[in-house]
Amino acid sequence: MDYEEIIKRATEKAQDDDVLARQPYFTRTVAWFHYLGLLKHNNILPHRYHPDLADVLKAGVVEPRVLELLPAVLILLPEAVRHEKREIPKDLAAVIDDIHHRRDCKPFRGVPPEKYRHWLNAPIMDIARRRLDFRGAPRRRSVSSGGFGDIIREGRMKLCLTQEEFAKKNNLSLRVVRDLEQGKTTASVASLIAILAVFGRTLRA
Amino acid sequence: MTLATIFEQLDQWVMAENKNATVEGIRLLPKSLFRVVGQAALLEAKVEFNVAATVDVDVLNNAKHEVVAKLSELLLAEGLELDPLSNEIWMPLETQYVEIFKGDWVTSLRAETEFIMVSKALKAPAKNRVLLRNYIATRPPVSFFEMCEKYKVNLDTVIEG
Repeated sequence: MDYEEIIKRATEKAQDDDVLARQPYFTRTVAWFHYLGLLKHNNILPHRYHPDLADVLKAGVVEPRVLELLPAVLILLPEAVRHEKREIPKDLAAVIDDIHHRRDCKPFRGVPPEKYRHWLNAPIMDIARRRLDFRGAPRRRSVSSGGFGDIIREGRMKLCLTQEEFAKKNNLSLRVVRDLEQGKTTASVASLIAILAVFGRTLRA
Repeated sequence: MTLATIFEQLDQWVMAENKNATVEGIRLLPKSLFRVVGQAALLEAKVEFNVAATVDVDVLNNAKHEVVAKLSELLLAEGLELDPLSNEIWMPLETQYVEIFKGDWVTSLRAETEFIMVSKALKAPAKNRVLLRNYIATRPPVSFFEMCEKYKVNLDTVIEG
């Protein structure tokens, strides 16, 4: 076995994988599933992105664990993934139908039935339900930051940058970026104007 | 809360149960060994490559049913689940473990990354393709490749799909 050759090939592929893992559809899905308590990720923080089904399905190609959770999510927490019934692909609809009618299930995009069926009875789904319901509660924000946090976070995600990368690129401290996204801090007007300009937005009274 | 804290709570629970057992004259719960494997062990090891994990924790153990049930309860309180099929997970014979927590009644260890990755490469290469590529790109130790050869893991298939 030529170890160096294997490492070289894996590195090339890993670079492609890394590009996919930084796509907004992937980060949105993982951050949302993380927020619901269904998934953990060492480099993507939990967040309330509420992705649509197309995002989740694409993310599942990069991370099959997302597909493992998807049938149970659509059955037990249907509002967790934005979709209309007609948008559900045939193979996924067939899985859901088989589960509803207690029929033997087929593998779903490489995920064996015992893996995705496991989540139907998992107590963790109750926790996800509570977190999902909690979304309706109003969030406390500091008056000074208001909706800037969302604008900055969404803009940053579109640029596929981590908070650290975004801070470095715009000569800000990581703490300021984190706090602004969480609506915790009062940034200077100059900083806000500079950040908004990155996303082509302006500060208006 | 970290896994170490959860196992510490479990140790304290066993200690309390055994104290009661002594008073009531019933059999003590024996010492238990828990070995965390799978994605949870990778997250615990704070590896540098991307790791996504469902919240079921794979733990090989020799514990009594009551102790496992208590662990399950403690994990659930932290939004984690004990995979009921944990003890069926295959790990290489040479697997080395690092201590997470050591108490009077409970010891918990986590498998070292290279051994977890051999297990994944052999048993679930498709599900872990991206993870394995990322890992191999970090230049794993030679022992990883040697184990792959020993257990007949086809790394070409793992990488290319």
